Amino acid sequence: MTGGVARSSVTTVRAVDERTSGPQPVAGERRAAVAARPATVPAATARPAGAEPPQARADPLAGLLARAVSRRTLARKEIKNGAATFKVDPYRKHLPDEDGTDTQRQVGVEVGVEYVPPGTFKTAKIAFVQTIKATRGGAPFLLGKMSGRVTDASDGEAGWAVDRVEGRDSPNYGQNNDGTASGTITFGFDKQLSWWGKLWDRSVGDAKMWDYVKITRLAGQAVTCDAVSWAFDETNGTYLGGVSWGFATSGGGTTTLKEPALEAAGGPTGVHKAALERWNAQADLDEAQRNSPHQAKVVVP
Amino acid sequence: VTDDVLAILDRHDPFKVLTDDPALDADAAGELAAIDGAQEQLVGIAGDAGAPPARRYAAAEALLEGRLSDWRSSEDGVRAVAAALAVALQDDSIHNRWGLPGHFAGRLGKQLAALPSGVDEALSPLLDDEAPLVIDGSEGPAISALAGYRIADLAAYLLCRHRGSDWDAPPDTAQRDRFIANLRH
Repeated sequence: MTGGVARSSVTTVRAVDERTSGPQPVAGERRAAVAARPATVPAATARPAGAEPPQARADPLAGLLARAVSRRTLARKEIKNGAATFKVDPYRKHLPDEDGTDTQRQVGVEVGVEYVPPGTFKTAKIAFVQTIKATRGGAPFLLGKMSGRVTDASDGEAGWAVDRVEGRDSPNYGQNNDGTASGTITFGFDKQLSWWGKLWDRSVGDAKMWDYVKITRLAGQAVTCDAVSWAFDETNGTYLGGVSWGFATSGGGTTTLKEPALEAAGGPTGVHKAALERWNAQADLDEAQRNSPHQAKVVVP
Repeated sequence: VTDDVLAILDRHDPFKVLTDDPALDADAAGELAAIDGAQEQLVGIAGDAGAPPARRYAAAEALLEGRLSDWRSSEDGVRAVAAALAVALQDDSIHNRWGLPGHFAGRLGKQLAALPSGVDEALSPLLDDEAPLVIDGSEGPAISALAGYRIADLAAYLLCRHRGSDWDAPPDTAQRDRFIANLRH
């Protein structure tokens, strides 16, 4: 990671049942996962779906505890940034049952990031701009139009890019081309309600995004992914800090989540700033090379 | 079908390619193009429902590569490629190269949707396929998981692009199924 961790951080962690939060992983990965499944499945994953673990049958309390720390647990992390707070929740591996199996399959992470602004904050829109770098088998992992905006060594580090799906105009993660929020984002804002009004409207202010990185690996391939979710006050054109997260899958197929951390208290610097500049350069290219025909530029701090 | 054509095709399994690059590199395409009668053989393989899907997929990729183009002016040739691509889409290991409904058509999705004939017949059977799409990336997989996109949705999206009609599919899966049902002939 680049950039310095500025003011504050740290944190509370608690266990949450995945059944009660966030969209669930897509089941079954057709050819990639099924055809390449190993002949022998590790004992820990051979249990039929929904079946109780052995210790739960022996002791109900032990079973409850086991479930609390099993694959169904996930961490919620709160990271202070001055008077604001980033919350990372959910944060879990894709297909944890297959962790450690060296097969061809998708690996990745599901992550939710929430930005809770200070109570005095005034803005009509808080969005997220996300920078990301991924590798597979030691080579840059780039999809679609992302190769047209990726940083290189001259930017300080190769492989970083603004994370937007092909066909989308805005650099804001999850924003539709008509400016509305897709299902992966809730824009933050301040309704500028009275003190009394805010007592009744608790939803005011928070910006939330949800991401689900998946990268198909061949057996033996290592995969890495590093990302920073930058909260962005679009009304005032300022960045409100960024949280880093990611994962690494070893050549043996074991995935490790990276500890979420405050990447910077303010705007993107270093290679992240360079990634924003690369996005803007792409917007000036011929239409066929842009992320979308009407690719909009991003604010560079 | 001659052994040399089969040998070249069977060296390449497009289902195992994880990037957006064509399964047959320029050298392989050049080898095929140099074989007398290769184009007719490739069309025959692409249109052969009994041939292994990987071989049909490779044959279609070889024909799309560009050196061989006479098939594009043949109704049978175009239909054979459409059929092979639809089978490939349905059984592919990754769908980014086909597209993400409502967002973009990938390299192969664009080429399939642009074929002048045979696309309706090839994609219609996929409109019942409930298997989830396999999308790599960051925002793309999130969108796909949230919407519950399936082979059926991708086939419908490409069908809309082929017909030049708007993709107005609702986010709700049940409602989207009614939208998809209206696409059937």
